[in-house]
Amino acid sequence: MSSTDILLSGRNLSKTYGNMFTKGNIRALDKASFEILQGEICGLVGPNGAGKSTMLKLIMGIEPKTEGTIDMNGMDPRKALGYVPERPTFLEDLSAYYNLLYIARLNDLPDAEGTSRRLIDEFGLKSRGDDIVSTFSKGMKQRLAIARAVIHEPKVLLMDEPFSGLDPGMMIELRTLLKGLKAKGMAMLLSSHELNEIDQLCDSILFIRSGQIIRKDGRGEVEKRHLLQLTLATPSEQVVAALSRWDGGTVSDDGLLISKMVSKEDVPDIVAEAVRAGGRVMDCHIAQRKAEDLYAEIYLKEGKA
Amino acid sequence: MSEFMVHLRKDVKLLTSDSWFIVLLVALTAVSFFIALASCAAYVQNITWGDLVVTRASLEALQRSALVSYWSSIGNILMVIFLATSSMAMSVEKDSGMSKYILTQRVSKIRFYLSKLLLLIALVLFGLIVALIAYLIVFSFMDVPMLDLGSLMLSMLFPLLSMLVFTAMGLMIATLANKKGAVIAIAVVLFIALTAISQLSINLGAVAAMRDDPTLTNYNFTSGLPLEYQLLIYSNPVILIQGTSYALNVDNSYAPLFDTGQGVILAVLYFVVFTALGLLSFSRERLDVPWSTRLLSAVGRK
Repeated sequence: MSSTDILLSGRNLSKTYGNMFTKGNIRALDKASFEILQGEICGLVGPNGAGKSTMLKLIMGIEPKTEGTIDMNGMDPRKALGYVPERPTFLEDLSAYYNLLYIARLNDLPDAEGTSRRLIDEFGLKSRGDDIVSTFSKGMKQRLAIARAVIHEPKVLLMDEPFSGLDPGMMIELRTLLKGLKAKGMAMLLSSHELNEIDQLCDSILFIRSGQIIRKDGRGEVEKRHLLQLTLATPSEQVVAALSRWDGGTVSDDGLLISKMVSKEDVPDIVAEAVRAGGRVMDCHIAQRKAEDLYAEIYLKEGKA
Repeated sequence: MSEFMVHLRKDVKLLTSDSWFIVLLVALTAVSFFIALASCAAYVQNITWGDLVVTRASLEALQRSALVSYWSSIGNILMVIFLATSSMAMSVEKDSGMSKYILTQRVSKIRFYLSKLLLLIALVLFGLIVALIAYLIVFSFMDVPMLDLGSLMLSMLFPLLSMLVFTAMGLMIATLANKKGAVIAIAVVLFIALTAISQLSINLGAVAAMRDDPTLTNYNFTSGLPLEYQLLIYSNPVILIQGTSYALNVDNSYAPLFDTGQGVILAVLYFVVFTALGLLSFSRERLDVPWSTRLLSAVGRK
C-alpha cells in the first residue's frame, strides 16, 4: 500500500470530554488509528457509546481533538471531506433546492444552480425539489443530506448511521446510491449498526470498543477470508490433527463439524488432506464470514457488548 | 457571489419565510401608531391647558416635548422588540444544529455573524422609519406647524443608536444558548435588570455627588459624580434613550449625563463591544455542548 493510496489517516486520535474544572471526565476516544484508502468503503462498527460518532466528528473538525493527528495527504479537509451527520439538519423552512444551493454557493461552485438541480434529480428528489424540507420523510431527508455532502465532490464521505430509521426499501435505495458514489471513486467511512448493510457495502470494517480501535477486518480481494465448514460422517482425531497446519478454527462438540478461516485458494488442499487422513467428508461449505459473526466474537462472547 | 452575500441572502430568505416576521411588522406598526396617538393627545392637552398663550415658539417647544415623549416610549418598546428579535436571530440554525453543519463548510464565522448583524441593522432602520411615519401621519392631522427636518432627524438619533446597541447585545445573547426560550429569557431579564439599575444608579450617583459637595444640585451633579457611580452609569446602555431629550434641549429634572457627541461615542463603543463579545462567543460555536451546560458541569450540577 503506497502513501498515495491513503486518502485519510488518523494517528492516536483521542478525545476527552471535560477539563480540570469538571467532574466525571469521559475518554470518548483513546488513541485510535486508522487509514482509509482510495475508493474504499470502510465500515465503523461498535456498540452504543463506543466512540464512533466522536471519531467522525474529530475528523470533520466539529469537535476539537485532545490528542493525535489527522492527515489528508495534503488536501484541505473542508474540500476533501463530506459529512452526513447522524441526524441531518437543514434550513427546514426553505426548499430542498435552496438548501443545496446555499451549500453550493458557500463552496464557490462555478455553476451552483445547475449543480443543485442536477443533484436533486440524481438523488430522486426531482418532484419535491421546490418543496420545503420540513415536509420531507426521513428517507428523503437522508438522500438530501447525502446530496448536500457530495455537492462539492469530496474525496472521502463520512456518514454517521446513514441507515438509522430507514425502512428496508430505503436501505436498498441508499445502498445503491452509495455504490454509485463508490463507482465514481469516492471513499467512505460510515458507522452503522446495520451489519447486513455493512457486509454488502464495505470493503473493510473497523471495530471500536470503549474508544479504541480493536480490530480492522480487511475485505479486499487479497485479504478475503472465508469460513470453511467441513461436515464429517464420523468424528476423526486424525482429520483434526491433519488439518491443524491451518491455524485457528473450531471443532463442534460432537466432532462432526470442523470450521476453519482460510483463503479460497486453500480450500481444495484442505478437503484433500481431510480425505487423505481417512475422513469421510459429507459436506463442504464455504461462507464469507459475516460482520455479525465477527461482532458476536468481539463483543458478545467476551460479555462486553 | 461573495460568502457574505451568500449568508445575507440566506438570512433574508429565512426571515421572509418566517410568519413571525409578518406578526412583528404588524405589531410594530400598530404600536407606533398607538404611541403616536397618545403623544398627540398629550400635546393637544398641553396647548389647550389653562391660560397658556399660544405662540409658534410655545408650539415648537411643546412639540419637542411630545417628540421626546414619543421617542422615549416607542424607543423603549423598540429596544425590547429588537433585543428579543436579535436574540432569536440564530435560534433556528443553532437549535437544529444547522449552524454546526454550516461551519464544517468553507465559511468564515465572522462573515456568518456579521451578515445577521447587517440584516438586523436594516430591520432597525425599517422599524425607525415606520415609527417616524406613524408620528408624521398622526401629527399632520393636527394642522400645526411641524418641527424642522433637522430637529426631526436629531430626535431619531439616539433611538436609532439605542436600538443598534441593543440589537448587537441581542445577537451576542443569541450565541449563548441553543433554545429560543432560553435566549428570550436571558434577553428579557437583562433588559429589566439594566433598566432598573440605570435609574437607580443615576439617583444614587446624584445623592452621592451632592453629599460629597453640598453646592451641587440636580442640575449639575454630574461634575461631582464619584468614579464608581460613573462606571455604573456609563457602562449601562439604557442611558442612551435619554439622549433625545439632551439633543433637543428639552428640560428634564436631571443634569444631562452626556452631550450629543459624547452620546454618539458612547453608543459606538457599546456597539463595538457587544459585537466583539458576540463574535468571541460565536467563535466557540463548534463545541457540542452549550455554554450553559458546561457552566452547570463546572459547578457540579450536571
